[in-house]
Amino acid sequence: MKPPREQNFYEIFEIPATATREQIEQAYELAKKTYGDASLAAYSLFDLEERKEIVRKIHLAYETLSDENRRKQYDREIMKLDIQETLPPSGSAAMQTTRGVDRPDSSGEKPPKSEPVPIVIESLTGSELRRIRESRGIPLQEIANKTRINITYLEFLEKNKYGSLPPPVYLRSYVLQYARMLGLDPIPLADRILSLVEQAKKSDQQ
Amino acid sequence: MRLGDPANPSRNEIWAVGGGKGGTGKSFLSANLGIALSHRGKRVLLIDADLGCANLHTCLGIDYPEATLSDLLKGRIKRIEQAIVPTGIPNVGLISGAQDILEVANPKHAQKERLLRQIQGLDIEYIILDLGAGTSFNILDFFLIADQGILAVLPEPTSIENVYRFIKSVFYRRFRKVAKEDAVKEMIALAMDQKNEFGIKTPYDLIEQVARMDPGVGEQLKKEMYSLRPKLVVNQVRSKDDITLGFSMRSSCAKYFGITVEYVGYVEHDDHVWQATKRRRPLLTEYPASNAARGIEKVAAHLADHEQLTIDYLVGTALRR
Ligand SMILES: Nc1ncnc2c1ncn2[C@@H]1O[C@H](COP(=O)(O)OP(=O)(O)O)[C@@H](O)[C@H]1O
Ligand SMILES: [Mg+2]
Repeated sequence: MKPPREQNFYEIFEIPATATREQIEQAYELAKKTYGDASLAAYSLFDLEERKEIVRKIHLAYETLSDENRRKQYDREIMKLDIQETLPPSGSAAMQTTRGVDRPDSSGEKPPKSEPVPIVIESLTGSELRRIRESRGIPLQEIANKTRINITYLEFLEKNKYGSLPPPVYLRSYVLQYARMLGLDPIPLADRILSLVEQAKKSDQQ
Repeated sequence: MRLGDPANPSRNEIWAVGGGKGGTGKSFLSANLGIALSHRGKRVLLIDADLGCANLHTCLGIDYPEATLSDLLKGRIKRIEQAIVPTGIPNVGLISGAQDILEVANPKHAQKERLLRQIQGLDIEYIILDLGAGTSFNILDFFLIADQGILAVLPEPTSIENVYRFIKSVFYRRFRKVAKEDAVKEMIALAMDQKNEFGIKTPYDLIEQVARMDPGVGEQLKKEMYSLRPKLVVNQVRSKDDITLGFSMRSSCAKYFGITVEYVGYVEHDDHVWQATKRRRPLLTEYPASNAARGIEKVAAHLADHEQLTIDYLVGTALRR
């Protein structure tokens, strides 16, 4: 269970990725009622800001999933099939690319089918790492077993819970190992994660 | 078939009806769900576990029950079969609530354990526990021993808030029972305080915090969280929006608590209910064709078959009136 902020469009609607057009319509209607202004079910659990955020995401999800082309592209993005096909085998060097991985299709413009979805390590987040890992069919447990990193830390990393990660000295070596198992460039990824941890600390102190 | 015949004990299914506030229809649902199950050819035992305000016998038209749950808990009656009184409805028996509130409002853990073992030994297919209002440990414990915990909610803010509070309390109670380590227990106790220093607002947050202390225990709690799936019944619905509320609560619980709640149905607000109540007769025997009775039958079927409503159900659903 992920917080709404990290849920993908199917998760936000609580529907399977195979949902029909009709199911999407129904889920949209229900979600608007559930989290909208007159909501009896949600007001005592989520504050106004949180509900606004959920509603924004609901509209975006609907715009995307109700358009067949945009949905197809979104599916490709979350499944990362493209990446899987075009990535070098694990252990090889970084991929230089130009666009984010977890970019929900809000612009409408889309790349041709065959164009790989690029990875920009400098802007990756933990949850994007999870998708990349899943697209490569590597279970988290396997990484935990091979690297002997506590699986809870790996989960924190993949859930963007940077504040809960171990101190930088350990973390750095963890991320290096994790990156190698995913076939990502280890050093830039370690830098990226440590900078996310820094940011998390700063925003915590505020 | 005779009720309570221990000759052939089999694993029975225990349902508990709770949900916070008083007056949400817990006793009404307990009695009538039992009758609905008997209509499906099942043997049923109703137990009035509302230790503070027992009135299930009144719903069934029984003036003064000969034996009660307190007799059993206190050991004045040795065998559970002796505490069962007939209800006049074929295949439905009753263990009436305690009349002497002061004595057993707080049964000991061992007493509850013994009662549970006795219930499980009965050759009766369904046992339904009618719980009291509130979130006291006794009520939560009875809810937790059930195979299916049912929450009765009214489509109004106070009732909904109470159900959420109940859900949260029941999960924390369960976690506390599973957790052996003092540090984890302490964390759970802290989490009960809404303004705790760790910012734990939900069972989900709590699990994350515990996992940080001890990943093994965190995993264990996560399993508990997925296995406990409260069933929701919206009672006294008057509009399609009231029906939708069940789906909305299910969604909100998933998003906020990280908890799976199953929406097993709704019962219309129906004047036949109070007409039956006034005559101290159960709705299902007095007005079996009423809208509310049909709603109850559907809820019973969903629970018995381990099914729930799906959102496509809403399409074309309109109240029949
Ligand atoms: N669906 C319904 N339509 C009309 N009245 C109802 C309905 N459900 C319950 N009631 C009435 O609401 C009152 C409270 O119900 P009860 O079962 O005693 O609540 P609880 O056991 O939760 O305190 C009773 O008078 C009952 O007849
Ligand atoms: Mg009652």
